[in-house]
Amino acid sequence: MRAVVFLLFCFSSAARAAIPLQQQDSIDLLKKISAAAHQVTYQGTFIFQRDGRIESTRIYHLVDQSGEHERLVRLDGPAREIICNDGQMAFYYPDQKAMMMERHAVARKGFPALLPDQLQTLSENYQVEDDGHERLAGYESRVLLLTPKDAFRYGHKLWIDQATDLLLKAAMISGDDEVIEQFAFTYVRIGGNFDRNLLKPTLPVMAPRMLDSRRQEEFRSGWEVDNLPPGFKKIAEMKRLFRGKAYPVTHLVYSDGIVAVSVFIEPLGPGSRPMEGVAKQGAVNLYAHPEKQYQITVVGETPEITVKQIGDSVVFKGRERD
Amino acid sequence: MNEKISMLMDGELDDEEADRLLSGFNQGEAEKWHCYHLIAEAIRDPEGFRADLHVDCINAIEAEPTVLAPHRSKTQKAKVYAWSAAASFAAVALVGWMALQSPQGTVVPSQVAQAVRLNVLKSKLNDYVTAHQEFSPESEMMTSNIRTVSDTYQENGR
Repeated sequence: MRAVVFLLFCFSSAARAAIPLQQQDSIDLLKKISAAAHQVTYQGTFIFQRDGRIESTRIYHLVDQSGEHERLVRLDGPAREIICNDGQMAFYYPDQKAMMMERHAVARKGFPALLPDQLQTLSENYQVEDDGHERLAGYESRVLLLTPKDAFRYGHKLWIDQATDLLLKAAMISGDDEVIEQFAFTYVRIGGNFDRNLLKPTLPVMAPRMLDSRRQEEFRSGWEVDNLPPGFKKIAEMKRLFRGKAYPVTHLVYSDGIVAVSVFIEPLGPGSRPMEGVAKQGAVNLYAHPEKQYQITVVGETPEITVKQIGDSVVFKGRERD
Repeated sequence: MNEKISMLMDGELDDEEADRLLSGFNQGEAEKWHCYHLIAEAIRDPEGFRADLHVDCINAIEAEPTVLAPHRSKTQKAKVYAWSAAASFAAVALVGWMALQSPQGTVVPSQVAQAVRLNVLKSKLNDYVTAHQEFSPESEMMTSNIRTVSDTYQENGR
């Protein structure tokens, strides 16, 4: 009997049938990918493809005692660099003229950015399967397939380096089995010697313009989403400032464990006109919708119906505003 | 000049001004004018647009650095499309497609008149997209900067 089971297993592997993963294994693996992204030193070139365009970017990523350091150099189109030192980011966009900007990124949330009970719902939203092995950018990778169980999310296919758990390739897949966005290393060197000079910007430094990142977390705005799509739960709520905006913006974040949807709520000041509509860029959908004297903007790497359903059910349930 | 072309698309120039503008077009501007019309077509018929849009047009649109100031909104549908085309070279490449919709999914002129186009405000929306990336578990698996560095329109508008 065992032999039969083994043979069946062999045949199914040969046919590349994906093997469902236990929930705990899936969660552990996803956590490992996220940890590797911040703990592994590597350098390479990746392509990013969406909306029929492909762009190459060079990445240098060093992790040492002083923390995590990253430099991204855009290779196609206007030259741009992003430098990130332990959450402190600088953008070098010379094509945009006065273009060095900085901000303090939030402390890394870790992945999945979820509460323990939400981890348990992962398998309610996705079927997670082991989809065999594939060689990628010179490394042997393990392929993980996340198939959504409803139309509120996209599918994901992840190629993970066997040795370090570094993500080597990732694709988001629509309900029609179309790849809507993907990133993939074409070349990567994991570990080894690392020349720190490669972390320095090469583009000219210009007058800095600060991106305002002041924020107040642990904040109860009183805004809620009445009709959340299944599996989504609130993971963050804050009040923050954005440049060019006179009023603080309420920012709510919901996640299903794999992707997130942000809801931004701002008062429509005198003279500002409401926005209504949808926009799409690769896997990211954006929905703007006025609600009384407030502008609601929803952004998420989800299908349009998800951002719309969320945006259309944002309600104020708090006490009188100050 | 871009603003003039935009105004022309909007029907905001009188005949004399329009004549002067059209006859003064150089090669590049003529192509741009042609592009705007292609885009207008594309917005009217999103199904057919990718195949028809010339590569040079896409390049020209992408090379466009500035955001045009929003004009007074028009209520006529055709003008709205044209306006959108002129002001939103970005809409084509930034979002692939974009539509103004009422909650019921149809264009309601009064709402169109009220609504400021999303694409004109894309710089602010880009801030939102960037702010959102920080919280995305999916971005967290690699680097949250993938989308940011690849975004042609990041920080375009001011």
